[in-house]
Amino acid sequence: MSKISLLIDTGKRAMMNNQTALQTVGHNIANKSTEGYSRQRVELQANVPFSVGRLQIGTGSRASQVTRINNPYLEKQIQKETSNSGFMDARAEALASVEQIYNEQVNKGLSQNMSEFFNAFRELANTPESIATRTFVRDAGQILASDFQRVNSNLVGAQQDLNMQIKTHVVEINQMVKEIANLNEKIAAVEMQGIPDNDERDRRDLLLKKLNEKIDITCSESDNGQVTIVAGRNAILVSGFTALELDTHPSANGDILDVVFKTTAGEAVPLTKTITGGKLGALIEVRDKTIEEFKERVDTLAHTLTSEVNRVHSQGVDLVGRPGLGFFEDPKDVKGAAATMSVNAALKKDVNRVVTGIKEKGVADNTVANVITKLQSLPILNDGTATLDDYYRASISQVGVLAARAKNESESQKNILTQLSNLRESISGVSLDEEATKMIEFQRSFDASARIVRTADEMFNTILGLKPM
Amino acid sequence: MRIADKMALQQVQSSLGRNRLEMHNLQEQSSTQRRINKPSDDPLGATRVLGAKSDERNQRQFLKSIDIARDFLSFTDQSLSEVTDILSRAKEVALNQASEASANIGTRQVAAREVEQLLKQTLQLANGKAGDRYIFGGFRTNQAPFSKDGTYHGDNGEIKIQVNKDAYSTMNIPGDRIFLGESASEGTVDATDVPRGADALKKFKEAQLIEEERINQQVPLAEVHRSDKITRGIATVGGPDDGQEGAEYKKTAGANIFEVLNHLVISLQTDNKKGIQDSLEEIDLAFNQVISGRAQVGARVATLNSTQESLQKEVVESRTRASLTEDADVFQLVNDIHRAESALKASLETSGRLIQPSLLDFLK
Repeated sequence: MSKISLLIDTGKRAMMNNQTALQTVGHNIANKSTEGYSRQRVELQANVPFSVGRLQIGTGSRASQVTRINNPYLEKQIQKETSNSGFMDARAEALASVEQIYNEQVNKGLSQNMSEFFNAFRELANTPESIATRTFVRDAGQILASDFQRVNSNLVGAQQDLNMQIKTHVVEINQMVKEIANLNEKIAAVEMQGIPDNDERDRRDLLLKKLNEKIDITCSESDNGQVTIVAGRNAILVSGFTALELDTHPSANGDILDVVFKTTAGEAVPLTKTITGGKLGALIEVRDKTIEEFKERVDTLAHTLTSEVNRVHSQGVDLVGRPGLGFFEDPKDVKGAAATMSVNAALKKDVNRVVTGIKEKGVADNTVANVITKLQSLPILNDGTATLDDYYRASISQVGVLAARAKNESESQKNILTQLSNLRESISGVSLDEEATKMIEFQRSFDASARIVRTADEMFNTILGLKPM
Repeated sequence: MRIADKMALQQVQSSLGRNRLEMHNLQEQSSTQRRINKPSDDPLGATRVLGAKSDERNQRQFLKSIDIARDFLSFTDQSLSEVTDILSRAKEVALNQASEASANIGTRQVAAREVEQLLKQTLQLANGKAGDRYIFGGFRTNQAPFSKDGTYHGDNGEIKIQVNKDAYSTMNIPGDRIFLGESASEGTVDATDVPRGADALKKFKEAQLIEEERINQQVPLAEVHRSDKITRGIATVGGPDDGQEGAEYKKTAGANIFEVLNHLVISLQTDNKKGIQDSLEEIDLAFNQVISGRAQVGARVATLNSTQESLQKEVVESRTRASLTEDADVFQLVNDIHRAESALKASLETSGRLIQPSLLDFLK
């Protein structure tokens, strides 16, 4: 036999359950736009019935757990693809700025300046006696030299720009890593009691995703729900409740910032070479590989041009019969040839030093000038397979191909990510229609539960109103 | 599939973003009228454009050079034509004065003065200048190539000018060939090319040294040749007073025009009929020498003209090549813009409908 008081109790608990469910509906609606939020659900369970004689009498329901609707494998996949997407995005962006250095569609660049330099020598071959033409040639040489310097310093500038970006990312990574360690602690504390810590897990998943976007990490979750994060090969950023930091140090030659990992012992372990993914990986790749390669090419070009022109130029005699000097300052090494390129100082002061021929007194001898212009069409680079123009144009097409491919890859990666995140939303995302439906459902249930309590109350009244016989 | 609210919004966001990006790209193309605005738009095309543009710059430079060379050659031709006139006149005088019938001592003295004038004119022409440059001095264009006595102070330099990608043209004729009858020294390099690079230049210089050596060794032979000529008359030309130049001068093989005219003057002055008759022959030789010079000049100008014509075509071709590669097809572009615009409008419209309704709108 059941009791009226039990009925009141069942009604009361039903009201409470529905209120909890409505609260969760409210929570879902409130977090509709929260990044990384997974919708939650109150798991209702029938209470343990009790037996009276042959009857099993139900005792209502109880809210057993608030769970989040979430597919952890999908989250893992999203984290991985986010890392790829971060890499491709950052690479496309960095290459787009490198590309601008080589953009001769709108600006005057090396290709034009080189051909103008050789045309100045052609002009000089036409009128070797003229002081005006000599001045013109010297200036064309100086313009060419400063354009080489411009390309080089723009490339260096792009590297420094990437340095700054790397620094900012490292700071953000450190913040996220710290927060993840904190969350580890909170989640462990809550879940110790067997309660899923939904919101904090959502937040941690989101942070992991963002961390992945910045740097390639491997993370694993232990049985007690704590994640361990390893960056590079052996830099353990998060282990349990402790977080270790990354830092940036100027490298040995000073131009670039190395990313280092600070161990508990306070040591700084270099990490730059082991970072190959995420935004950081892309920035490091573009900075240390791509741009470095372009710098090398510009240097090679500058070195070949100056040394070949000098070798020809110094074989002749100048206007007043002195043996010829180099037209440019002799380049020392290939490395840095573009940065230090300059017209010979002596020649800058005295345009009579410009050499046109090999014959003394032969003011109209333009043999040397002709041989110098010939250099434009001679294959003097890449083991005698490429002219100066070819070599430079190869750089342009290379940067173009790289930038175009990076952009395409980043676009298609974005599509992959969009699909995945759509998939995630379809599982974990909040739908207002659904929440509204639930709201009505739980509200009605609440009403009905209240009615049960009232009915029980009326029953009590009926009983209490019975007259003694 | 369950559709969450965020999905719809994401969809709206990404499709609008895509449409806007496409519009942006098309607008950039239409404002620059170029299909390629940065290397990544078409890496191969971008380098092709650069190649075509640098070709065009070079071709324009070649055209400029051709103008300069042709001016120089025209001036040379003009001078040579005047020299032929002078020689014709000298021959006429010589013919008139050679026979006793039409001439006597008196007329010969008068004629001698005329021929002296002709000699002076020839010297003036030989020292002619195009602008600031002496045209007959070889590489030494800054000093008068002939002194009063007819000594040559120039050298045998040939000023080569690049007139096309792999073509060079010589724009001068050293005066000693025209006026002193020097034979052109055998070139150590092809006249249509220049040494290819620094190493080739070194070899070229060495070859030139050897050539000069060879010329110097030939001196005695040339000396004999010349003294043979001198016995014909008492005319003298400037001796080999300054080493090297003299050495070059000694290898005379043709007619020395100054000498020839001088010979005629002296023959006239001394009333030497035999001398005058000899002069006729010498003048013919000189005449042919100048004519062959003019023919050379004419041939070069003709080559320059045809090169110029083809260069002008090539400039247009380079232009077209660059334009075809980098310019936007305007009709296509306008079409694309319309298409992108309507796509954007459609997106906006559907987005508006997508965002609006929810169950909540229908609950009271």
